[in-house]
Parts: sequence; structure tokens; C-alpha cells
Amino acid sequence: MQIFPRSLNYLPLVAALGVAVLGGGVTTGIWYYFSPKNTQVGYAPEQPIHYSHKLHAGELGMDCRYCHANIERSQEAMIPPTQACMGCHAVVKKDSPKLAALRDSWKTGKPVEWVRVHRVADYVFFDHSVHLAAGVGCVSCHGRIDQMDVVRQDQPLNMVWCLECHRNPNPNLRPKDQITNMTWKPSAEEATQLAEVKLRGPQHCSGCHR
Amino acid sequence: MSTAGNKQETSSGKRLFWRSLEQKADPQAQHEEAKASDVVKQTISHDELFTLRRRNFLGLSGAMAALVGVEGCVRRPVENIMPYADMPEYINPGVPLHYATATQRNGEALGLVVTTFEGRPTKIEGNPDHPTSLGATDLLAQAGILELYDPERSHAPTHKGVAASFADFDAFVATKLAELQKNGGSGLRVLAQPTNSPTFVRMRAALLAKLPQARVHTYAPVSQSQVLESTRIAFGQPTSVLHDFSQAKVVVALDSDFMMTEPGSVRSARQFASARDMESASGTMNRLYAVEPLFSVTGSNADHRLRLPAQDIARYARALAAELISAHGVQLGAIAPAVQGVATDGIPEHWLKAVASDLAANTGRSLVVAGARQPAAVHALVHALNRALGNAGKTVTYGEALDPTEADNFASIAALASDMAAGKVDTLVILGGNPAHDAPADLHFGDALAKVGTSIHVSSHDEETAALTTWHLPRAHELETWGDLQASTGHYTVQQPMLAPLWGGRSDIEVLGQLAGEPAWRGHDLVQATVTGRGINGELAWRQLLHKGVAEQTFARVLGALEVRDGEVAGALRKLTDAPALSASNLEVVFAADAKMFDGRYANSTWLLELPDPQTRITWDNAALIGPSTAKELGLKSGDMVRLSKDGASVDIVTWVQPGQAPNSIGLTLGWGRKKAGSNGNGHGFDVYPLRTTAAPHFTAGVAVQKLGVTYPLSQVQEHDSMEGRPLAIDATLSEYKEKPNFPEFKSPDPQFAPLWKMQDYSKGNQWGMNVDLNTCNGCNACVIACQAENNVPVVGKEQVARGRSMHWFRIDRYYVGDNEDTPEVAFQPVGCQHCEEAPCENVCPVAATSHSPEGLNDIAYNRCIGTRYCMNNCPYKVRRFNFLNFNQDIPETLQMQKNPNVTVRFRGVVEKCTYCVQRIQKAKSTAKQEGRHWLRDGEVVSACQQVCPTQAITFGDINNPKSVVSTKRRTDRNYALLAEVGARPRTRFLGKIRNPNPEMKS
Amino acid sequence: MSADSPIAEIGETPLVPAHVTAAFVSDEVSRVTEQKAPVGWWMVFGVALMFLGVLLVSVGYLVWNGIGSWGNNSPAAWAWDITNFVWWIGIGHAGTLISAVLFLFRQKWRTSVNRFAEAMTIFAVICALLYPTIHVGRIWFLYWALPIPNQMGMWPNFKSPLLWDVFAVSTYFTVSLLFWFVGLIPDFATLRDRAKNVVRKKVYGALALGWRGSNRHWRHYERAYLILAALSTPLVLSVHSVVSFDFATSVMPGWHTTIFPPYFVAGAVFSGFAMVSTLMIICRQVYGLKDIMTMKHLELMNKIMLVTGSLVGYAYSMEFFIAWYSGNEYERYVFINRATGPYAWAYWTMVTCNVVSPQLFWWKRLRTSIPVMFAVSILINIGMWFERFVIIVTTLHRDYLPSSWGMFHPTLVDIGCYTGSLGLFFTLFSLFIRWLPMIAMFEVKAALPGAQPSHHAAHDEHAEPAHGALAVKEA
Repeated sequence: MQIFPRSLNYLPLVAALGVAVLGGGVTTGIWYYFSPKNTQVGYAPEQPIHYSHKLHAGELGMDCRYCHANIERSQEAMIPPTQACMGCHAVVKKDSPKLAALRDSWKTGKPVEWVRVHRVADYVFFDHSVHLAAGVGCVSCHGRIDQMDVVRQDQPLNMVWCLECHRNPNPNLRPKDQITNMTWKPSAEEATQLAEVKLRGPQHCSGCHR
Repeated sequence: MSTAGNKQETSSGKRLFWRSLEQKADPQAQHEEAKASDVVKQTISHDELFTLRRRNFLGLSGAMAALVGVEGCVRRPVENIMPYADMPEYINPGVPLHYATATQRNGEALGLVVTTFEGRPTKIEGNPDHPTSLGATDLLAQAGILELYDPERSHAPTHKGVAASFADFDAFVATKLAELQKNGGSGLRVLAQPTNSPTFVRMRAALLAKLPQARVHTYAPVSQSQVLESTRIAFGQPTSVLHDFSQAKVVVALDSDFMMTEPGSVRSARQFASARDMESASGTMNRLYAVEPLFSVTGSNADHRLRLPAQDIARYARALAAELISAHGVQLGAIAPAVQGVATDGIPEHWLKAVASDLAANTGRSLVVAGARQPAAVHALVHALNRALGNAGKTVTYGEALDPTEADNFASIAALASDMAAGKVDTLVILGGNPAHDAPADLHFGDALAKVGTSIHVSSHDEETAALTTWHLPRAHELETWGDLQASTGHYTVQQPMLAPLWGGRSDIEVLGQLAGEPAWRGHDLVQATVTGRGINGELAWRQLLHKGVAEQTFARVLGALEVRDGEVAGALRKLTDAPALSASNLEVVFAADAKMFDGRYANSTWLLELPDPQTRITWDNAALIGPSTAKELGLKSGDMVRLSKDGASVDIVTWVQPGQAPNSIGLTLGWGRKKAGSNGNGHGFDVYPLRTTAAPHFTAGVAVQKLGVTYPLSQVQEHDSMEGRPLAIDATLSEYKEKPNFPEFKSPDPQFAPLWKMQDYSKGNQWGMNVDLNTCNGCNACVIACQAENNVPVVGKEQVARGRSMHWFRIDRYYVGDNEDTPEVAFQPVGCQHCEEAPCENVCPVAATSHSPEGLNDIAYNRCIGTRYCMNNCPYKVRRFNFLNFNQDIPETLQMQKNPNVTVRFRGVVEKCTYCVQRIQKAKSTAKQEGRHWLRDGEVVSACQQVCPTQAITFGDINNPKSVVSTKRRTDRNYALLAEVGARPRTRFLGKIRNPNPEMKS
Repeated sequence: MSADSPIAEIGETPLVPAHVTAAFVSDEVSRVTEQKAPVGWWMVFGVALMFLGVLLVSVGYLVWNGIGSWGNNSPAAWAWDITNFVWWIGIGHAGTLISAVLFLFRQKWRTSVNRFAEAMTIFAVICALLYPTIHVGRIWFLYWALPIPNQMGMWPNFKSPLLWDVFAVSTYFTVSLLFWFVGLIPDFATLRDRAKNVVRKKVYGALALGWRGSNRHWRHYERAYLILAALSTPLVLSVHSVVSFDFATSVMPGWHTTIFPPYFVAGAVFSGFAMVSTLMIICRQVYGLKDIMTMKHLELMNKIMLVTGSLVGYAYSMEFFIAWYSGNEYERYVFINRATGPYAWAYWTMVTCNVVSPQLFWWKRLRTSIPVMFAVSILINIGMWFERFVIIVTTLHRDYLPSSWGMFHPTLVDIGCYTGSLGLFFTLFSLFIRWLPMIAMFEVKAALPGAQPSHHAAHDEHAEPAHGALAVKEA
């Protein structure tokens, strides 16, 4: 007497296929959707003041270091104090409603509460000055800031991404005087020179974790 | 399983964080002296969730990872960046600034340099330009930074226990002053601690000038009163006594712990070590004889140590003098008859003969010192001896005393107390100190306070005394206010505030200035007035003074070798009465300043509470120290509770059987058992002040011991005292060393096997290594606290210490050497991670959380550790620490401000250990790279333990650089690797200890 | 003549008495799963469940508070956690040994024991796996120990013995599980065919994977079983050798020894057999299976315990000799400390239980006395737990630097996690007894007298299909 239908004989085959397909799907799903590339890149929060890098760095061509003045001397790239903005905006657009928050800050002495865009985990100790000293340009990690009306995260900033460059930095190296240049392309001999640079970022734990 | 260590409640209000782009200090920071201060404060932003992340980042990132398998893949919480509105020009966010200042320590000034991140002080170091610190500090100075952020410091003035404001107080003072001025200030009394602040002295004078009827009293439980008194006897004027141990070949310390609890200990320790350093140019070695009741740090470093009850020290001093006169014709003039025919029972003959001849053989190069505990007569005799031995002017000089009133210490407070009791005191101002708790018990100061019309108490904490006074004012921390200090060498330092008082608060000089009716009584103005008064004029000079931390010119007149007034000294000596011999029925107790609590003022510091005592290795408690043979006689074991009683007063305290403790003498350390120190200090240890009387504040005989039949649990970080004959802290006598200079290698051979695998090439670039000289390390434990402060090492609490979960990255092992447990020798051995080139811990970690850097560092990535603890098992040195519980839970916001922003705060479940201060290495590298260099110069990286070490026993640097200090040390013949036979090839090396016994001394 | 038929000349008797027939076996064994469970079962199951609850609570508390809830400390960073791990793994050894090795050696007497032993193996390994999992400080990152691609670009450290453990133990578990299940298939079929109600039919039917006992089925079955046996035989040796590497590859005195792998394997087999006989004796009494689990079986097992027990004893003494012979003072101290130090009581408990007690089995009268062998088997289980405790804690608590010496004191959570794991084990085991054939029916039948016609002696494996088929027909 039969307990199970004959069709059940195909169960093993079906099961095998099902597991294969489902497993594959889940894996790729996690692989892509949960990766920093997908979750972190593109983060572009609303800022208290609509400050456009496109305008200042791009069209007006201001150098990054005019505002982020200490990047070559500190691990942290400072956000400019209100006073720096007022340097110009005390005369330029001094009544623009867009800059109300800025003027308040200047009056009250209370800081402007910018929203952090580029962030690495708390146990990662990234040092701007060292990377600049090594000849890594702003654009390598921050992308074409000069084209961003609202600043967005351009790179995943995760460990593998860091290591790729630490293992082979040459593609991201440039002459020290071109650090802040967003559009710089190496000339032929520059390219050969840079290719010869024997520079490696640290690949041991304490290089970044302390 | 609670973490008793972190039981402060999280104080309300805004949280702080410090890894954001711009650093923020406390809101309070927008405060009075802001402009005046060199440091700028900013308001703090606040993101609850982020701060949470900051504190236990591992937890949350962990939770996230658990959630979805890949870290950081959850939409992050919004995090704000708060730039300055108006940034001071020299602030560079992310780069710390350093400010020179000084701290008051037991009547001596200790020059400091404070590291601040955007106005947030995080670490204290010694000021290399300051003569009393010479770049080093002691453990109390290291703990000072925690004291600053102690959330339980007084937050506001109180009037009759009710919260009040400074405005109320100022109003009160105004009216009070008006009425005081009518009667010339009669009935006004000021009780201050001994000071070495010129401004304070100036203000005191000003007050007395303005209100001639007022009186100022001076009291501190631990003071130099008897030293000053002795100089008054010997020289006719109170002077400071300045030793120069670097020039002394033979040192006789009479109950003097000059390396630890005596004034200027940092300087003394450095000088003593320099005269002991085998690799120094001189290459000769000094010899230290210690005669003492307790087993002090100094005694642990002595070449010969005689344990003698405190009351017999005077006898020994006189007998020694007599021996010097009779056997070596030392001229003591009129003193001679006063020292003849002293009973020498209990004193071995060679302790007179050999010591005397050693002293006589080194005239002008020897030094006799006595401890603050000993009566003035003994000190006077010591002055006379040093004079007669030709040491005066060479190894000891005398200088003008800044505050002679200290001499009357106990008399002064006794007078005050009696006047108070007699109702003669209308207004009492208590500047610092906690007399209701630490004044001699027989004065019943607390009760007397009730009879005072108005009492004003200025102190850091709302402590025992504060509860009994009309007014209590928060006393600003030394890092919060302007002040000034003069070292006994006459060097002058201005204390500058690192930040405005976190909770408001005033300094002694401000209150004094206010009472003296100074119009400009703010610290800044008072100090500047003093400075100009001292002939330092102009903005530039002022800035230089602040910048260098010590004035060009010195101020105390150096008196050189003074004539000793034999007659007076002899008179004083005759007054000494020989107490009846001690026995189990007639015991002596000796009161000593505690190595950590000092006199109790540091009682709320978790770092200090958890720091093991250098000698007993006990944490979170003190104990009655009793010698083994005496304990046997009394039938006592460690842990037994006993009642010590004399004249009705009694103290219940736990027993600790302390090898090396003098027979029939019980050692009691002050400052424990506080009732109102704060939630950390309360109820830890035992208060021994009740036994202390004006008659005998230092030691007293005739104490009865009663066994209470109950035991008390003590937490020790080291439970085993013997080296079990293993070659760990290797030592030799000078003669042994001379014939076999490489004795340590001989004892701990380094097997050179052919490697089974391809060895890492460590020949290139910087290769970091450390060297610890056991010969100069005196076991003061300053390095342990320095490491804790630098590396955000958590406190775990008494119970967890007892369970063996202390977190200190760097520890000082203390071993007893010798068979007789009554007279052991001590070997100290500082042990941190040895950074083995073939590290056993690295192979066994399943996730490669700990691995080797190309520069020879044994890296550990906390955020990779999953906590199998296999590395701890496999570490032969047991230096790896595990966060068994979340020891960083709920850190009050101000304590969060102390954390070093360049070091991760660890979550539960991860292993941590000494990193050779890798954050400092990386910082130095960063600077080097900015300057286009690819390797670091020697001395560019200084580890926290190396920086703090008073004796420079620890050296750190590049072992690839043949000229670096550390490589030269490694090349010396005393160099050896701990447990070399394990074959781990540690990067930390030790230099064997050398003892310099006198061949003429039997035993 | 047949390899299996008893040799009267040397006093061998048949494994099962003459009156036992194939039908008898099917009834006897299947009965257990078909009737109501006896009171004894409910009592065991109830108590076991209770302790399972204790386990859940303890583990929950542990994970929430951190490892500090245990008594572990520095220097004893490992204590009961790893002790229990090694103990359970050891117990989990008998199964594969009996099933695979004895199968390959054609030891027919294994037939009534192996199902049991295999089940026990699997449950023991489950308990063992619990500890490496919960003993880590951050359990939510445990997966970092597995070679999974990740955004950190980090691999696990293949040099670490702990990682070898992960692979060794998981392999062992998988193979044992397969081995057990494959062995069960024909019996599932029997149960299916005996089943009265439809649920049993469906469940056992599903488990039986459509077994009909055809010649082809038997041929595949035999091959699969043989391959699995061959696969798992090396595992018997490898698993505990690898576990012993956790200690042997370290630099700790008392751990760093080459004798560890064989010593651990012997110990494992020892404890495994002890546990098997403990359980067998109980079930034998509760279900009255005296005719199938005969005294002969028990006696043979006791002999193995006697051998392995003596091997372990030899290892103990050899450790001392080497410690002395090496001249290494740290090594010497560790062993002096084991025998005379603060944990001497643990050491001597271990020696008494593991070395002395099995020596009773030299006497046939004791070897064949149920109470004696039960007592001894319990003693051995205790002794083997102490062996692991002694190895781990007495080495750690006093190693190189006396300054770091300390003591280990267990907490309630420690005790909860241990007793709880026993709860887990017995819960699973009682469920097994209740619902699965605890004895390999078809194999016992194959061992019945006359199951091997002499003219088939040369290749008697082919005799079995017939009987297997018979088992099905009887239903």
C-alpha cells in the first residue's frame, strides 16, 4: 500500500535545485545590498545651511584649504569656523535669507550644526595630514566635490577599500602641489615617475586601529 | 558581579563626545576667566545615540553585525559637527596643546606640563625645565587628571547645607568684612594648610595687616613641621632642607621614605638613581642604609635595612653619633655628652661600627636624612652630623623657608581648637583640608566647630568638615585656577588654568584676597601682582614665565652650610626620653602617609583606590601592618580583624602580616576609611585618625591589640611573594657583578635554536624596543597610573580585583628575596607586554586580532577580537587583560572627558594589553611624514611609562638605531630577556639589579 | 568456517541466546517506540527538561553580562568552559569507534550497541559544540572564525588550533550524523511497516526514504555504510588529536607535550565507553532488553575500558617522568603542583576514578556484575571530567611568573552551564529512546545464530538482504 504519491520521487531533485537557486539568491542579495558600497555611498544629508561646494570650489574655484585650513597639519580636516564664512559674507550676499543661520551663529557665538557625511568607525584612526603628505589627492576619497551641490559620500570608506589603496597606492598618488586639484591628470612622464614611487600604506592593525 | 569600580551615577545634563571633528569642553566653560585663560573652551554638541556608540562602539557595531552580518550596513545615526563660531588662532583641531603649570605636593612644588585637546586636559606630564620634576611626575600627579574630572566634586556653595550661589557668599562676605573691620578682625580665624605659594603668603600678610586682631593657623596631617622646628633649633631660623642625593656615596635614611612620601620625592628618586646608574660616566655606585619601622619603598631599595620601631630611631641616631665621635673623632662639640651612653639593645653592633666607618670614610660625599615622623631633636642631630661629616653645603644645603608657620603645625591647630571650644572664635575660614576628619582626635575639632559663630569651608568635596560648617565653597582644582608655587630650590612657577572651573569654584588665594579686601581678588590679578612684585615685568616676561613654567631667576635665598648651635641641639637631645622597650603587650603604632591616599585628600580617586600598594599589593583597602614574628606572638593572620586601643580611643582594622615590619611595631597608613569622601572612597579601608593625638601624632607606644575573631576580605593583585628560585628579577651584588658582568644572561640563558620557519626580517626601518633597568626602578608605581591615564584603562573594583580581573596594562611585580621573612630583600620588576618577536599569543588567535607589525609591535585590534582568551593562556608573562564585564559602562560625562581621544575605549569581551603607546608612535610618524621623513629620531617617541618614571628606569625607542638610548642599554652586559628560554624573543629587555652591600656588615 | 560463528574451543558463546528470533528482535525493539512510555522514562525526561531550562537561563545570563559571570579570570582564562567542551567531545568518541572501527573489524557484537553509541555521540557533540560557542567574549562575532568573505578583507588565522577545532569537530559531527541516519534507514522502514496510525506511517515513511529492502537497496546501503565507516574511522583519531593540539601547541608548562594526541584519544574512548555502558545499563533495566544487550556485550565493553583506562594511567605517569627528565623547572613545578598543590584533591580524584577503579575489571566476577560496572562507569565519567579540569586549570593557575599566580573559583553560572548541558544531553537522549529504535534491529538479526549459512561464509554480507527483507515482510 502506498503512503506517499509517486510524484514525491522527484522531491530530491526539486529540493536540490531549490536550495541552489535560493542560496545563490540570498548570497548575492546580501553581498550587494548589505555592502558599504550600497549602504554608505550616496549618503547626502540635508545641511542646516545650503552650502554648495559646486559654487565655491567649482565655479568660484576656491582652494579646499581656504576653509579646511589645517588638513596638512592635523589628522582631522576641520570644518571652517563661522568666522571664516563671515570673512566673505560680511560683504558678499550679506543679507541673503539663505545665510540667516550663519549670521545667527556669528551673532550668538553658537556653532552651526553641520551634519557629518564622511564617517569611519570610531575605532579607525584616519589621519588627513599623512595622506596628503603622501600625495593622495582629496578627490581620491571624496570624489568630485567641486561638482556636488549637496555633499554626498562618493566612496564606501570600508576596510577593504582602504586596503586596496594601502597595498597599491600609486594610482592615487600625485604631485604635492596638485593635492586639491579635482581635475588633475598625470602627464606621461609624471605617470612614469609616480609609477616608480615605492610607497605602501600600513597594512598592520595598529596602522589604523589603536 | 557588578563593576564596583564604576559606581558613580551618570550625572544629568548634556553628554560629551570627543571624536567629532571639533572638540568641545563643558558648557560651564563659557565662564568668568575665559578670556584670561590661555585655553579656549567651546560648547559641546550632543548626540545621545552617537555618544552611546562612542562609549561601547563594539557593542553596537557588534549588535549591527549580528543583525545583518556585515558591519556598518545600517543607515547610520545623524551625527553633527560643531565648528567654532570664532576660532582662536593657534587652535588646530585634532592636535593637542601643552601648557606648563605646577602642583603642590607635601610642601613642595612639582612642575607639570598638561596635554589638552581643544581645551580638554587629558594627561599630565612632568616639566623637564622644572628642578623638582625634571620631566617626571609621581603617581599622585598622574591621578590629578582624574581628580579634576571627579563628578563628585562640590558643584555649588552651600549655606547651612542648603545650595547657595557665589553671589550670596559675596554678599555675606561684604557685610561680614564691614563688621570685622570695626573690631580689627578679632574673632576671625583662618585655618590654612602649609603653603609654598608666594601669593598665598602675600595675601595672608595682607589680611593680617588689614585685620590685625585676626589670626591665621596652619595645619596639615602630614607636614614638615618637625623639620622646620629642628632647623629653628639647630640654626636659629626655620629653613628649608635641600638634599642632593646625586652627590652622596653613602646615604643613611632614618625612618625617611625620601623616594615616596617625603617632599621632593621625584627629584630625590632621580638623583639617587643617578648615583646608582652603573652605565653612568662615574660608574661607581652609592650605598643606602635604611633604618625604619615600616617597609617603605625607600627601605625596599636599601642595600642594608634595619627594622627598628619608630621610637628607637632616636636611640640609633644618638648611638651612631656617639660611635662616630669615639671611633672616628668626628667633632660634634657640645652635642657629644648628650649622645653618650645610649642603650643599644635591639641594634646590632655592626649597624653602628660599619655604618659609622662607612660614613667617616666618605666625608663630604655622604648624607644622613631623617623622616618627617622623627622628633625635631633627631633632625637637629642629623643637621649636626651632616655638618660634622662635611656634607653640609655639598650633599645638603639650606634655604630660606617660604612658610615658617608650618613649624607650629600641631600646636597651631591645638590652639585654634581650644579657642574654638572656649567660644573665642566668631568666624572661622578653613581653606582646604578636612580638619573635622584628620585633626588629632583629642582636639574633637568637629565638636569645637559647633561653637564657632560662622564657619566657612573651602574644599574640593562636600566632605566630613563641610557637613559641620555654615558655608561650604567648592574649591577649584589646581588645573582650573590661577595660582603660583615656589619650589624649595627657589624656582618660581605660575599655575595657569587649563579650563574654567567645571562647576565654578574658587581658590584659596581668591577667598583670602576677598577677606583681605583686595579690590581685584581674582586669581589672575593676584598672581600677576605677585609676579610683578617679584620683578618680572612686562607682557613678554609674563608669557615666557607661563610658557616655560618656571622663572629664570630663583627666589629663595640659599643659605649654604649653616653653623650648628651645638648647645641648643644638645639641649633638645637631652629632652628625648627613652621610652620603655616594646613587647607584645606594649606595642607601638606608627602613622604613615599612604602612598596613594596620602593623608586622605585623594580618597575618591578610583585609579588610586585600585592601584596596588607598592609593598603589600593590596587594592581598595589599607591594613594594620604587623611583622611576621610579632603576628605569630599575637596569634594573628592576614585578614583577621583587630581592635587597636589606647587611652579609650580605639580603631578596628584588618591585619596584614607584612614581612620586614619592625618587631612590636604596627604600621598604620592615613587617609583611608573616609565617611564622606564620595561614593568611591567611602567605606574603603580603615580610618586610623581616631588613634592620633596632639601628644603623639606620629607614633605612640602602649597600644593594646584585641583580636575580634572576624575576618575581612582583602583584594590583592599579587598573591605570591616568592620567585620560587626562578630567574625573573635577576640581581647580584656589586662584587659578583664585577667578576661576572653578564650575570643575568648566565642565570637566564637565551637558547639560540635554528628557526624551523622563515623568520621575519626586523633589520629595516624603526624597530621598537623597551628596556627596564631593575637597578634604578624603585617600585613607586607611577608608571601604572601613567599607563592607565594614557590608555583609557578601566577600573574594575575591589570584588573584580579579588577575582583576578585587574586591568592594569603595566604592573610592578614585587618579590621578596631571602629566607628570613622578618628581614627579606625586595625585588621590583615592572612587566608590561614584552612584544615578543615570536609571540605565542599571535599564533593562537583564531581571528588574527593580534598580529605583528613590521616594526616589531605586537599589535592588537580590539574591534577584531572575539574574546576566546586563548592568547591570555598562551602568554608566558600574563600581561593580557580581558574585559570580563563591561567595565566602561555609564562613565559620567566629565570622566569621559578625561579619555585619550587617540585610544579606543574597549567594550566587554575583548582582550587588551600594553601597545607600547602605539598612538604616540603613530602621532610621531605623522609629524615625521609631514616633514618628509620616513623614520623617526631617537627620543621622538616616549612611552607614557617612560615619560613618568622618576628614576628613568624605563627607556623606549628604536633598537635599529645603534645610537638610540635603548640600544645602548641593550648592549650593556646586564641586559637580559625575561623567560628567554621560552624562546619568544621579547622586545622588552631588563637590566639586572645590583645590590651594593657593605662587606663589613654581617647579615 | 564463518568469521562470525563463535569458536566453542576458546569458550566463545553466541552473542544472543538461541531463543531470540528475527521476529522477537523486531517486536522487542519496536515495542519501545510503539507503547506508552514507562514511568521511568517520564521521570528521566522531566528531570532532563528541568536542567535544560537551567542551561537556557545560565547561557542567557552569561551572554547578557559577559564572561565575567563565570569564575574565569587571569591567569585561568579558560576553566570549566573548555573542560566541559573536551569532556563532551571525549564522550562523543565511543559512537564512531564502535560503529566504524568495530564494523570494519567485523566485530559482530557491536550490533546491539552501535545505534545507541552513535546517538550518544551526536548528542554529546552537540553539547560539546555549545561551549566553544558561548565561551567567546563577543558571541555575535563568532562567525569571524569562519572563512567567509567580508568587507574587512580578513581571513581567520589558519595557524590557530582553535580554528582547526572548528573544522575537526564540525566534520566529525556531520559524518557521525550521516552515519547514524544511514544506519537507521532500514529500521525506519520496519517501524513504518509496523505502524498502525497514519502519522507514524507518514513520519517514519519519510524518514525511511522509501526503503523497500530490495536487493538493489541493500547493495547501495552496504556500500554507503562501508564508505562512511571508512571516512569516520580516521576521524576517531583526528578529532581528539586536534582538540589536544589546543594545549599541545601552546607554550604552557603541562600543556606543551607530544604525548597529548594519543593520550587524549585513549582518554576519549575510555570516557565514551563509560558513558555508553552507563546508558545501556539503565535502558537495559528500564526496557528489559537483557536478551539483546547481553552480559557478553557489557563484559566486552568493560574489557575495553580496562585497556584504555590503563593506557590513560600510563600517560599520567609518563607525563611525570618527562617533566622530571626534561629538567625544565617550570614543567617540573606544574606536575609537583598538580599532585601536591591547592588542586591536589582534583588530581587524586582523577587518578582514583580513571586508573584505579577500572582495574577491578581484571576479575571476571566484578566485570560481569551490573552494580559494579555501573558504579565504575559513573566513576570514570567523573574522573575524566576531572582529568580535563586538572589539565586546564592547574596548568594555568600557576605558570611562569609567580606574581601572576591565582586560583579559580566557579560561580553559579558555571555550575548552571555544566549541569544544564547534562540536561540537554538527556533530553535529546530520552527523546531518541522514545521515538527511534535504540537497537539496530536488522544488524542484530544478521548476528543471529544461523543468520550466516556456512556456504555463504566467504561473503556473508550477501546473506543480509534476505533477512532485511524478512524484517519488512514480518510487518
